Amino acid sequence: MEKSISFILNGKKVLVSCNPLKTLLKTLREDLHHIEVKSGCEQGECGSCTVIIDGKIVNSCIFPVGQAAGKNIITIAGLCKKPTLKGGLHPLQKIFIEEGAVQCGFCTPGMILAAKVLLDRTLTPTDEEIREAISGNLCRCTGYSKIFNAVKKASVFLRNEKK
Amino acid sequence: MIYPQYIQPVSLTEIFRKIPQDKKIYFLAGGTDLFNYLRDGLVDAENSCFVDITLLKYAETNGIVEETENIKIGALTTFSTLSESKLLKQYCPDLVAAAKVLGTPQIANRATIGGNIANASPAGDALPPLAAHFAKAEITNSKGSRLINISDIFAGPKKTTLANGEIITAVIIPKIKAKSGFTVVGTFKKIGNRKSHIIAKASVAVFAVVKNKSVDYISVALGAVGPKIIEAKNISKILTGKEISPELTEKCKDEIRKIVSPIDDFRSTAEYRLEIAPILFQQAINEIINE
Ligand SMILES: Cc1cc2nc3c(=O)[nH]c(=O)nc-3n(C[C@H](O)[C@H](O)[C@H](O)COP(=O)(O)OP(=O)(O)OC[C@H]3O[C@@H](n4cnc5c(N)ncnc54)[C@H](O)[C@@H]3O)c2cc1C
Ligand code: FES
Ligand code: FES
Repeated sequence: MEKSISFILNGKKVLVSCNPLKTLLKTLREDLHHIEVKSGCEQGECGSCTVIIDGKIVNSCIFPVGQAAGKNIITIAGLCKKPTLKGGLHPLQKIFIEEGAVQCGFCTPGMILAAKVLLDRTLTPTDEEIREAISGNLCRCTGYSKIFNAVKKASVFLRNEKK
Repeated sequence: MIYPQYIQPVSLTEIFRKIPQDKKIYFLAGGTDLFNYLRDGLVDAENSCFVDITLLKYAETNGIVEETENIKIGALTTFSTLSESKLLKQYCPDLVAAAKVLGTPQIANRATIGGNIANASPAGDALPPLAAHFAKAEITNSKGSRLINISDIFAGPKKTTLANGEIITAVIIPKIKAKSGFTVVGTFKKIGNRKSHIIAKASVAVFAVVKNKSVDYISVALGAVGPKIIEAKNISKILTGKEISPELTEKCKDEIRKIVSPIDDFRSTAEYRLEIAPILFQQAINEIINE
């Protein structure tokens, strides 16, 4: 049973026709070709498929696309808009690269989106809050400390930018 | 992939008008359990209907309200909302502590308290605190609603006593107020494999009204150490009206060793669970008397 489902994806209205119980992850990757959303465990464990829906991070691999109707969804590609930095990268993206917080890059989209919702809430996060914010995202390469440093540095950068 | 039938009603009335009579009904809330069952082939797709309840009107099933005698939590309330609730912090600090350690941030943003109860896992994190508060679930069907004790919902691991098509609409927690000079305290301890999003190998909820070490009221429940949640009623008898001391704490730990019936499974062994449950209790007691 296919259904027409529309939602806002990275600021643009999109329309898909599919079974409402198809996962949002599969819909984004297969129907809308947003392959920047990564498919890892597909069990809600690893966080690589993280997207922001109405301001909150969720795992798109266990999210039925039927529930996406009318929602505002942001993937990592939706972050690269700020014209303030070279290449249009978001400060978090740029600082992740500078700090060497990206190795294979598979966890990076989810990791940055998890960090973004934290920094949208506070630009003075405690170390514990940073760790907690990215605790749903597994990284098999970096050992996390460079990711942690990058988020911390981004919070300082964004704080200064705001002043 | 074969998908089950899917409907997305916006009110309880619409649910009972629309649910097919000849299919197994799965209410779909956060989907954090249900999607894994679907993917793993545990749902007979052709003979099932997923009833998406996330569009139900706010007042019917979502949010936390204070009533004269009770706190009422809508079944669709997520664990991120529970963990931030000031009202719950005041009356059910153990439930807040459990909500804080449930899943990853991504899971807590989706997982609902109704889903945690209906999923009927002895390792469900909301269940020991709810049992410690003698909470009731409001069950609704086409004829109306009734209240049943949380512990009576469990027919065993992953099995409930609900009839097909019956929905949990709310959780009712009786308020316990501290008498003058005393404070409401509570916590939740669990042990698992990974700090974030661990499914418990063993868990303990402690809810109490204390003044320093002196106990006016205490209620303890244990998770993942038996086929159902275990209410440790004798601990209330041991500690009520007394000062918490190392001797009495040891007596409570012996009681825990007596009432648990842990098993070996893929997460842990019975031996480990028997060893760890009293230690979790000890940690919880240390925490509440140092608050
Ligand atoms: C990565 C991961 C980590 C997890 N970590 C934890 C953890 O640390 N602790 C823990 O306790 N759990 C954990 N879980 C399990 C799960 O998140 C919880 O059990 C959650 O509360 C289920 O809620 P839900 O809204 O997602 O339920 P769903 O998946 O939507 O539903 C679960 C079951 O309940 C039924 N149901 C849902 N709502 C109702 C209702 N209102 N009335 C009647 N039936 C209903 C469904 O039909 C289904 O059978 C984890 C899951 C994942 C994937
Ligand atoms: S792919 Fe979704 S959490 Fe791993
Ligand atoms: S950089 Fe490879 S998984 Fe994180």
